Amino acid sequence: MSATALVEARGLSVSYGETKAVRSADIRLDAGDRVALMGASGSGKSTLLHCLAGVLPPDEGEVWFEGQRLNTLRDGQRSDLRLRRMGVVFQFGDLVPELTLVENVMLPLLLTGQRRDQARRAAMDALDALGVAAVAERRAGAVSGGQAQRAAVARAVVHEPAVIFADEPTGSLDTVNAEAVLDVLVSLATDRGTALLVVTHDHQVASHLDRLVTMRDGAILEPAAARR
Amino acid sequence: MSTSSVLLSLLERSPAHGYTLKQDFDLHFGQRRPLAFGQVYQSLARFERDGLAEVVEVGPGAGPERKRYQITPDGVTVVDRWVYTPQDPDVFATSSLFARVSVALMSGRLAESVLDEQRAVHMERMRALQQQRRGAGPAEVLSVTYELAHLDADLRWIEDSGKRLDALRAAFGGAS
Amino acid sequence: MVALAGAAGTLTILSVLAVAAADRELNPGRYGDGGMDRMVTAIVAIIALQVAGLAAVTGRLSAVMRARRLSNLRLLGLSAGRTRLVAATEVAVAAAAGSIVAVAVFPAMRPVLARLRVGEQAWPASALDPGVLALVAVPALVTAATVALAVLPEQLGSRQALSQSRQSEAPAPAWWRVIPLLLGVGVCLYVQIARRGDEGAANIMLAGLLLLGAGMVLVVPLFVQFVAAFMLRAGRQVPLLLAGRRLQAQPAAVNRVITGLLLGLFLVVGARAVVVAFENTPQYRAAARQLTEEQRVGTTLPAAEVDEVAARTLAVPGVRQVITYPILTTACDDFFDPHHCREIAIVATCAQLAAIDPAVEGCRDGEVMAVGSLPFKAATLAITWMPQRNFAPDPAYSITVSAPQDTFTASTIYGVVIPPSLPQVAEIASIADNGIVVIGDPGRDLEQRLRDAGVLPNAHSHWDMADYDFVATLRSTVYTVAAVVMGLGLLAFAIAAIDRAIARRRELTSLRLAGIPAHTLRRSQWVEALVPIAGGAVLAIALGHFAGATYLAFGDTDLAAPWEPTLILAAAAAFGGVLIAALTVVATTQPITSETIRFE
Ligand SMILES: Nc1ncnc2c1ncn2[C@@H]1O[C@H](COP(=O)(O)OP(=O)(O)OP(=O)(O)O)[C@@H](O)[C@H]1O
Ligand SMILES: [Mg+2]
Repeated sequence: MSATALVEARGLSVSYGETKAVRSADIRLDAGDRVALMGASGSGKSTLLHCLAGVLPPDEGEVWFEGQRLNTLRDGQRSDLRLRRMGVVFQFGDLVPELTLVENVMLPLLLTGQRRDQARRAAMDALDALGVAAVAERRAGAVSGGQAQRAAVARAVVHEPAVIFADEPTGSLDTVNAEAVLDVLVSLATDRGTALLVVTHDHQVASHLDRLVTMRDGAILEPAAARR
Repeated sequence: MSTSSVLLSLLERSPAHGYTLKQDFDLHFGQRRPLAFGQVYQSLARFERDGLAEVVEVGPGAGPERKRYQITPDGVTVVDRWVYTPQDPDVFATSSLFARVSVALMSGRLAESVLDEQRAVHMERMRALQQQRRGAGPAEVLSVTYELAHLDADLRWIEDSGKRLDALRAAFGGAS
Repeated sequence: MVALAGAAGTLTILSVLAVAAADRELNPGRYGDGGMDRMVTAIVAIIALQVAGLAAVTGRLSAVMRARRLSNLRLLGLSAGRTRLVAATEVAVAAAAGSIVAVAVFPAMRPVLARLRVGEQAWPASALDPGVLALVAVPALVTAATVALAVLPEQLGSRQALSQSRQSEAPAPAWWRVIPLLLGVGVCLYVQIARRGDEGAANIMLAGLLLLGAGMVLVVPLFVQFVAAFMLRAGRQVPLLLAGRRLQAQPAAVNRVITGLLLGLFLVVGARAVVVAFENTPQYRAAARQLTEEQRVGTTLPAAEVDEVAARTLAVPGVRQVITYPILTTACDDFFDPHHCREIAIVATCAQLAAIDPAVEGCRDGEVMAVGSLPFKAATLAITWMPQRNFAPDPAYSITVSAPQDTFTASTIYGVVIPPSLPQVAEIASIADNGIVVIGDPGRDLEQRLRDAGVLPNAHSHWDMADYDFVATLRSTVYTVAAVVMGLGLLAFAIAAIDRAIARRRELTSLRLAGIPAHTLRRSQWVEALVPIAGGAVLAIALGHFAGATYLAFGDTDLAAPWEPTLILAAAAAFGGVLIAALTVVATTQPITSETIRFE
């Protein structure tokens, strides 16, 4: 393993009042790593993901991204980092309903200064790969949940980030469409060395990824082999 | 499901007559088909021959039902190995998983480990299948996804059971 | 929200009615010809329009939320009609509660209103009573209007309401909406160019103004759509893209609010132009001069007292200058027309005349002239002037000069002007009665001050300040109404904008999670709130100004529509827009906390 990880968290703890959502979690992602994060509902997966993406400052511990410690960066710098280097997918509500799908996908490109026609072409390609090119010109408020979700994935991959954090990216998709989404993510990881961290309840989704990290009650469980 | 492994593990709880063993078995594992007495005595005889169990008491009268058996340290090792060794994720052969988990619960072994390791093996197989699927032709995709779907079902059971373990342990503990 | 709007609306209308009632009580004279009644009605109507806008906005807002809640009732098997009844009851209860609170609070408002001064006019708290009828009717009407505006539209598609609110693309407004406005502009331009003052032109003008107002209301959706399209075309500015699309997707609320705001602004700017017509009457201008430059009061005195009184007058504080001038009268007997007996002649040079009346223009020294139109039938008539009326005929103290051949203009003096250089004039002037003009510091107190000092008890101002006060009140009323209109309109806009912003909070959070910088979102929020208000206000104020100019051009007066109210309103609209934008920005972009993330 190389000295600096792409993403590394040490001793992360997050509490919401009495609830300990994450307890001294350690996790490391290198370029090209594909990790599935599983665990029962409420086990702290989303919370961990938010910490890694730099949206939620942990109560304890530190998160490093490409050699920078996220906790020491200002909010604007972290936003910029997410915009350029990370792709983040959530299950619901992260598209702008008034914009068309393709405009939604163009957002990260436009914000990083790409020309409009270039951005548009890249966005259409991404939507095409995810099988939603046909509804690209519809407003995000007027497409199905699964179509919106795939557009959200397109938005997370369109700028070819260094890492993609996806929180249940296939939550409202059938198996076949979920496969298509995972194929896009995995091929990005293979071709560009993008690291993947995918939260899922679905083992078929997890089976696209090389490593399985399980959480229980806020703690990351030892890999199964180290048990007993 | 390996009936004899289950019988041996039942013996682990306490020395028992063949008759008691059959009762126990039927209670925990025989929902679908009660065990025949013959199979019980056959297994016990084999345990004795292989040094996995020994006779600790012979009652009055004649016939196998007089003997009380007790597990040997070798027998415990065999049960250990059986419980903790994940099975090949063969689509049709996972039924022993259920038995192994039950035994682990009854015997106070780590049922979580049984589940974890089976999960790991299943996942490994699924990864291989996904790999295969990506380069596969249409016909092959069908068979690969068929297996994937079944493994997925197993895994769902593994997850569900993992969440129920505490309740189950209490129930099994109460029964023993 | 509905209750709040109901309370605000009721309180505003009650206040207006109370002021109107008090005014009627205090100044019964103004209400003689029904003009004031019409004005009060117009004011109440304008404000009621704003209140209705506010009610519609808040009512529709909660309609969306209610629809979600009520859909559960529908699932339980409640019929659509019953559901609507439940909704109507909810709105009615909220609006009625707000209105009743407003009625209860109103007595407490009276001292506040009493402190309000519009122009010189103030109304004592005791007079501020809108009447029992209004206290009952206003809350009832406000409640009814809110229910009607909030619930009735739901009938049209309550089943689709939910899906519509999110899914369907708002249909593009039809292009024909621009036609009435263009027609109105055309007609008004014609009126401005033709400058006719006859009856037909008055009707044409009225039609033009109506077209202008109605056209503006019709064009709002088109305008909003146009603004949105313009924003979208503006390159790769993400904030503009976001704001433009949002406007395009949900223009209804913006349209509604902007329409109300614009109509109010339009009327107010137009009304201000009408006030300008009043302001440009000579009476008003001269009265205004008293307040801003100098006061002039005058009377006449017998020759014997003049010097002494003038000296005493000059000693009164606040008196700047005292001017005296001899006044001759005609010997009436020589006249065939008794009317001429009232003619007087001032003995003064043109320079002296200018000091007496700064408005003197066209005076020529050495000539006998008349002020204004020639009062004498025969231009060659010889008139005999004497020092006092009924002066016993004495050739030594009377002169006969030929009647004036020409005239000049002035504002406060009248009669004939005889140059002192004519022979014999000095003699009669020395014993003639004198006019005296006292010039003092600006204000309206010179008369009183002289009286208090015991000099010139009969002196009176050349101008009636009541004219001035009336116009000033009118102008202040226009501004007060403008403020109320703006306030209510902006309040409605703020409520709508904040509501939408809050509804969008989840989306904004996840956008921020995805790395969209906070300032981009903030900027789009700014644009979304500011551009429609700014654009709409510009449209309304420009059209209002245009309408005012049309009115002023009517009948060939040379008045320009005033820019100062236009600019003040524009500034106020801009300020309000900034304020609202700031509010919505604050409402939406608090830092991400674990709670806000939970929305996702
Ligand atoms: N804002 C909050 N306030 C209080 N408790 C919270 C908050 N956010 C999360 N929690 C609690 O923290 C724990 C972990 O939550 P988290 O969302 O990370 O779980 P998760 O693994 O993503 O669950 P799921 O699979 O259901 O999405 C839960 O017990 C949850 O109730
Ligand atoms: Mg979660």
